Amino acid sequence: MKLTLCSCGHAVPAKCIHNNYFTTFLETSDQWIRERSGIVTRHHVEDESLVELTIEAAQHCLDGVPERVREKIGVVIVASVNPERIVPSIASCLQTPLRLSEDVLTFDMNTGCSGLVYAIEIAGKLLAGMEEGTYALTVGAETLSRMTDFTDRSTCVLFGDAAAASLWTLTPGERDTFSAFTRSDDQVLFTDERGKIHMEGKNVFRFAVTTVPRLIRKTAEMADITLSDIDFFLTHQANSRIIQSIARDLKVPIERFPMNLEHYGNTSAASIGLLMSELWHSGQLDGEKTLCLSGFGAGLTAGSLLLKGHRPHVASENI
Amino acid sequence: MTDRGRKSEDEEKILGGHHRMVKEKIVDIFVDLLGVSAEEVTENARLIEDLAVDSLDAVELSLALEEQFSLTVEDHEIEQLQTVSDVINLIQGKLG
Repeated sequence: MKLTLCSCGHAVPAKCIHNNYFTTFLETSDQWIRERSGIVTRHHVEDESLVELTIEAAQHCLDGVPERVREKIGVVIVASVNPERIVPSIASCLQTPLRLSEDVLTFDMNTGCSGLVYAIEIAGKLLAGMEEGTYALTVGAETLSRMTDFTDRSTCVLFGDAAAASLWTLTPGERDTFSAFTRSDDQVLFTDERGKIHMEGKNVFRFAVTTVPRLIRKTAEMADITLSDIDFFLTHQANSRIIQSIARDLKVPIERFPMNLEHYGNTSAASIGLLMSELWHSGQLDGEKTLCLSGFGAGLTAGSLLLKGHRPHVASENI
Repeated sequence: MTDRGRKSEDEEKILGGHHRMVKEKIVDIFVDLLGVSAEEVTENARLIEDLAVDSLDAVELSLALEEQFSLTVEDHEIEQLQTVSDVINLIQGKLG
């Protein structure tokens, strides 16, 4: 059985912030930010809560999906690094507004920017032990603006807020392949006693451009395919320079690495889901495609999930 | 010409060939990483002023050099490099 995508959705806060905003109080420039990261705008919450943003993304995901599917969602996993409250979990807060069954398993998880890839992999493993026809909802949701030190020009320009949801089920087919990586490091990317993000950019860059290509190659080898067989590399949207370096290392055309970080910045666990949702709603994930999802970030952690010959599943009323 | 002289000429040819080989590989790295033309990567080209190398490029440069020449390049070594010639000399020194 293999993971199969049934729908996607996303939500971003209304407030959109251009690079020029940061030049009003920091020694930086729009040009420098673009050249350094590829980012032009990002969205920051004002009055919205992370739970509200998550519900909005999940509702968007479930729009158009038959109502009965909601009853068949057996797993909800929310990946986030900064839920507003320790308890209740964000995932549990989705049950009532989304009209899910009370039999649903819900939990949050924190694996930094690797969050969504890990969540999807775990969802697949949980579904494998559940009744056939069960669905899993995975969400990446972040309000990184609340963890940003706006006096640190090396980091504050990078982060954005967003939530992105994806609905999965298992369908007959060859198992997906997954590789994970962890190396203990609390010096390169961490939060301080105020809960603000600190990042050594060069070392994070070095980690990403050496680890992610290796994991992608590993998952491709496990799936017995070549890199040229992969239609889309959906990579954590941290920095366009990282993604360009990964593409160069793999010798894969950059066109196979869709990006939207120009508009949203680095949204941590939400980033891959946000990209996936935009591709979904523009029809670019229709038909049979081999997809490779790769996350990397704090831990340091990374994960690569390869969906070989993936074809979206249209959930019907007849479940 | 003495044997010593002839050997010096041979040594010079070998060293010159080695320098050219290292330089060619380094030029290829710069072209691939920065998207510049090979003609721009002269030995006197300044990394920052002429080739617009920034700190992220420097990380990629060190990784590419390490892979190409099977050696280690420390951050502090990269930070001291100012020209392409400095890069060539660094690598030649490590290769022995």
